Amino acid sequence: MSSLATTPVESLPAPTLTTSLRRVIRRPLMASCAAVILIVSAASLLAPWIAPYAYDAIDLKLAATAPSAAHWFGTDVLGRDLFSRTLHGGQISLAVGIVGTLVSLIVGVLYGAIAGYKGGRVDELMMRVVDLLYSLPYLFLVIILLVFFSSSILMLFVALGLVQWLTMARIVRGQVLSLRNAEFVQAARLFGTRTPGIIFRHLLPNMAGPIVVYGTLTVPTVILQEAFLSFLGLGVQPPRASWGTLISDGAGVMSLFPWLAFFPAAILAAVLFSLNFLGDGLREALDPRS
Amino acid sequence: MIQFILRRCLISIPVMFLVATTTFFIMRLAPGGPFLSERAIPPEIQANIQAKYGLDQPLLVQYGKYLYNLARFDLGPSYKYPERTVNEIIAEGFPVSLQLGLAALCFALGVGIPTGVLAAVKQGRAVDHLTMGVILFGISVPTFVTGPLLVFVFSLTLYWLPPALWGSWDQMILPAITLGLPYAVYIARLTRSQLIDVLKQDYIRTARAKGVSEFRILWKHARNSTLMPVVSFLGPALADLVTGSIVVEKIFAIPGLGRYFVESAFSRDYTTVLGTVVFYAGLLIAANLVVDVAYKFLDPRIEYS
Amino acid sequence: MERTPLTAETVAATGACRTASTRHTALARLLPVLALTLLLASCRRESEYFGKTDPPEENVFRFNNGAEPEYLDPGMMTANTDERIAAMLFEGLTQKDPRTLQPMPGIAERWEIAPDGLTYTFFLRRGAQWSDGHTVTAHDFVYAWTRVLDPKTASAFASILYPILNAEQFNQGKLKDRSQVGVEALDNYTLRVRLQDPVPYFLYLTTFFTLYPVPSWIVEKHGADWTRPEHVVGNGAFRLIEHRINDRIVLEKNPRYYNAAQVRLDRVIAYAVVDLYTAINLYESGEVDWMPSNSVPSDFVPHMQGRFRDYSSTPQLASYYFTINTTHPPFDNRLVRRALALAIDRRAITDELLRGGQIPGSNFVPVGLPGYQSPPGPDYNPQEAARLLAEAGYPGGKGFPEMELSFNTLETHKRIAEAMQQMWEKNLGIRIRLHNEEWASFIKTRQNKEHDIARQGWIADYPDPAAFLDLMESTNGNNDTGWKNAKYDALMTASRKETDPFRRIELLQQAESIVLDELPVLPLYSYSVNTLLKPYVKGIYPTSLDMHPLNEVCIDRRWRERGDSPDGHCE
Repeated sequence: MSSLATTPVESLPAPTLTTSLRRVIRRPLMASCAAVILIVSAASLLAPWIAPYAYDAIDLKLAATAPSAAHWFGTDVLGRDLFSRTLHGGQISLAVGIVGTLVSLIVGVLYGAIAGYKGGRVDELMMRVVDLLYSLPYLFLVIILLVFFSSSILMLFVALGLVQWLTMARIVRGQVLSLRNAEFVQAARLFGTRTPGIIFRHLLPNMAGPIVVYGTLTVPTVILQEAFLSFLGLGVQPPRASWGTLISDGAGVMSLFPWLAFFPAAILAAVLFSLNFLGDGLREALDPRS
Repeated sequence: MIQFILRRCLISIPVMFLVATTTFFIMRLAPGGPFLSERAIPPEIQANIQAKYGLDQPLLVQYGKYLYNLARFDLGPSYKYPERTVNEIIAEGFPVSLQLGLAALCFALGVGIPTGVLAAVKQGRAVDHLTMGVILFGISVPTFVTGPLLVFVFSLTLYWLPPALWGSWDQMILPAITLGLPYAVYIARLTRSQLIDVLKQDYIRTARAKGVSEFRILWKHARNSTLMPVVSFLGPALADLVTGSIVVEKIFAIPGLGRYFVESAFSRDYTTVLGTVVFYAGLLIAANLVVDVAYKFLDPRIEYS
Repeated sequence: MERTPLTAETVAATGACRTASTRHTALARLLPVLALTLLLASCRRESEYFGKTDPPEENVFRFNNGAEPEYLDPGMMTANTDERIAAMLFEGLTQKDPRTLQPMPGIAERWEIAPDGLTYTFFLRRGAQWSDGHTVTAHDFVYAWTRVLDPKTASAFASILYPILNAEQFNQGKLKDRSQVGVEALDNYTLRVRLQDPVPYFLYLTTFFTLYPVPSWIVEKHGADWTRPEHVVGNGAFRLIEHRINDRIVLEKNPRYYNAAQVRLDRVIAYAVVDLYTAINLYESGEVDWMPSNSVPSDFVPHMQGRFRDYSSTPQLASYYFTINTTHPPFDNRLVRRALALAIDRRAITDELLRGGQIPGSNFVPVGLPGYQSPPGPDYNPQEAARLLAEAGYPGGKGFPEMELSFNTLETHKRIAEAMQQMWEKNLGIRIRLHNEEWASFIKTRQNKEHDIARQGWIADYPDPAAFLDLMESTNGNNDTGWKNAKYDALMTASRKETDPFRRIELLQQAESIVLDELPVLPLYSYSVNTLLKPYVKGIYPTSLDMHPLNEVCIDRRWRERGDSPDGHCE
């Protein structure tokens, strides 16, 4: 184990994404984290086929029964199977996390790459704008948007993605600044490659590492923010549920039906934990100093 | 330094303008309005009410008036509670949110830094793994789970602490822990990784070689450079504490500004929504400025050109 | 397997990884939390009462009022959260008996009703004072009532006064001369009221908050600010000393109240805790003594009945129903509305979902009104429902546009809405979207008829079928259905003129049968009030209108010796 993690890399350039991914995955704990994420994602994705019940099948006679062989996670106050609802909820939570992150990646990467590559005045101006936007009370604006224009899932995706792009933009700009005078970029420029070509074909592939790391760490943040909005009643609308709505529904009745909050919270925690851990691991593996 | 602060203040004016404008137009573009409702009231009365709040004028005139009043720090009357002005509501709610935020921050620093230092000093040993495990777990559980869990244990089972409301010191403990926990966790991680880096530096090794005591090394030599990232984290943290307090204020029925904001958004109390958002934007700017100044004191090498 | 499999402990020991985080150990960390929760739940003190039963140290009564009152001005308010505060600050001509809610002498010592039922003369008591020392006179009532009716005041509850002669015309701006409204002060202590129609419930209305007197000199001086703690002047048993928005309203005993000797509380604190789970925690931990008006979360209700002596469930004169916006297709079609009504299994909602003593029924007027029996309505019949929907042109729900069911944000409403959504999908094959909104904006959506179907609950203002049936008149400001029926309007007008009580009831029943046939509304059940009241509180009784005068409430420190009946004494 230790020989894997502490391979001396000081003298080498930053390891590529694939090698570090491979290196990270080979550590059993990291592998378990990845496994947790994969299993939960796969189960959520396949929810329509593997869930034992429909997520909205109400059976009032079975209201709030404790976990049993028929209902692994128990049932909620409307008698709906919590296991099935958790699987379906995972679809929404993960989708929000991933799409939100993608939105932030697209906006952030483009913005950061342009600023970093253009440099000078343009960079100065664009980064000043980012600084300014940092002082916006984002979640407040998101809440206003969701309250005033009814909370559709699409709105949720966009709104949460737009909260996250600033940091991405900063990271990418920093990377581009350090790469823009690298030999291979200068060579490309000599051959007459245009700016978009240089950014997309030469710069971005070389920054995949930090982008993936930050993306991995953004997903849990977005999932938590969706849960936060759900708690305020602004998440997905019933009968659909996300992990956030399931947990916030269960949190109030913790003393009566502890399983209602426990199972979704446990799965949410396991996924967030794994994502954070994996992200940290990737960051360490990609960092030449480590 | 003074020039730096002045410049930052100047820059903040367009930001405030941006926030005010965005919020104003988002709300005016949204369907529905605050006073369209009273069907039982004859139309001429309806018109009277609209006129009273200036809603009968063209949008741009309303916008201009709003900016003019904003420049004079007059946020207007609340639409939902006709007996109150937004200024009063903020004056009533903000101190509560601030108390809550500071209590949470105290908890986060008081628990986070010592934990981080402990983990760093004992790096690689069981204590380190245990604390860091608990810590990673801590950021994976949302506040609206920790809050009710703490209430269940300490208020409803042990009867040690009140489950909600705001006013006495014992009512502050559970909300402060609930709100501060994720930040304590983050600060502990930050402190740990930074201190580990710092302890590897040559000057620390030199000091150690000279036989300086471990405590003195930590306190004299490693302190400032370790706290740097923690301080820079405080700015965004305060912003987060403020928004995060929405949930905690709801769970613990705390009459803070976060709850006002959410409730006014839900009840389309335009003036209160606008007022709180603009107020928070100002607050964020101020918080970031304070952090930058603090940063400079900790690390005089940083230049403010 | 080249490498030795690592257990969590060895991983931690080798230091290869900062934390142990396999799926097993993550679960292993979570399971103790669950175990602890369950353990704590099981070792919580078993008691006949829910939570702590030690009386507060001071002579103070604390209750959770729910939402923050929008108004403390009795002429402007509409909600029962506002009413509970106003009833302590002000007193009308009559006040409610705490047990029966029947009018008993208040500011008026006695009254005379003319044989035609059209003229009431109230004789005011001489010792009544406002909290600033002014005398309470008949002019204060004339001022308050005409102020409510004044179109400029734009009071949402002005229609409560419409039984008074010319009140409606004046309120709607058709009559400019306020002196023609049928209320006049014959002298400082005699008030004469002339009615438009001989409605039998007028005396009860004089207990109602909209008819409270207000201090003209304070209202005129401070305008909208007159109800602030620093300005407000009342004539009730308590006076306002503190008002923190979204937090609490603190009142203390009013020493100038004419009956101050009977008031035994020093202070009353009304909290504005909106989150029901937070509120019930406050009750359980003994921070709050009373949880009025269904502030027990619905998940708790089935577990309280028969287990805790401080929990009670009382049928209420209130109706839970859905308002249909009949102004656009497909809901302008009576067949569609009938199909919706017939497809609702009301008993499943009350007996399996809510389990809180609600009485299921398709009747619009709630059960429990003495002398009134609702005509039969559309009971659960899924086959007939499907047939009617097909007849309306949507066989099996085919081609039915996507409609929205709106409700205000509350767990119970959400659950009922989810159950309805499922019943309609199962029985009719139609898909209804759910939409929740915060109370104020929800009200606005509904009143603007921006809804398709919206939840509505109506609590009787006075114990009479007209309190409900008036709502469906085409001119009523609270009729959010857009439904108009000339025959219905005619029956309601006739009922108002009718002096024979039996004939009047018949007319009202005929009117209700039109509603139950046309179904601009879908009634679900009659409410019940689920209340938690600490055993040491005396003087709060279950009532069918969920109104509880607090003037004579007291805290019994020796309740353990004397029992937990609300009738007990406190000395």
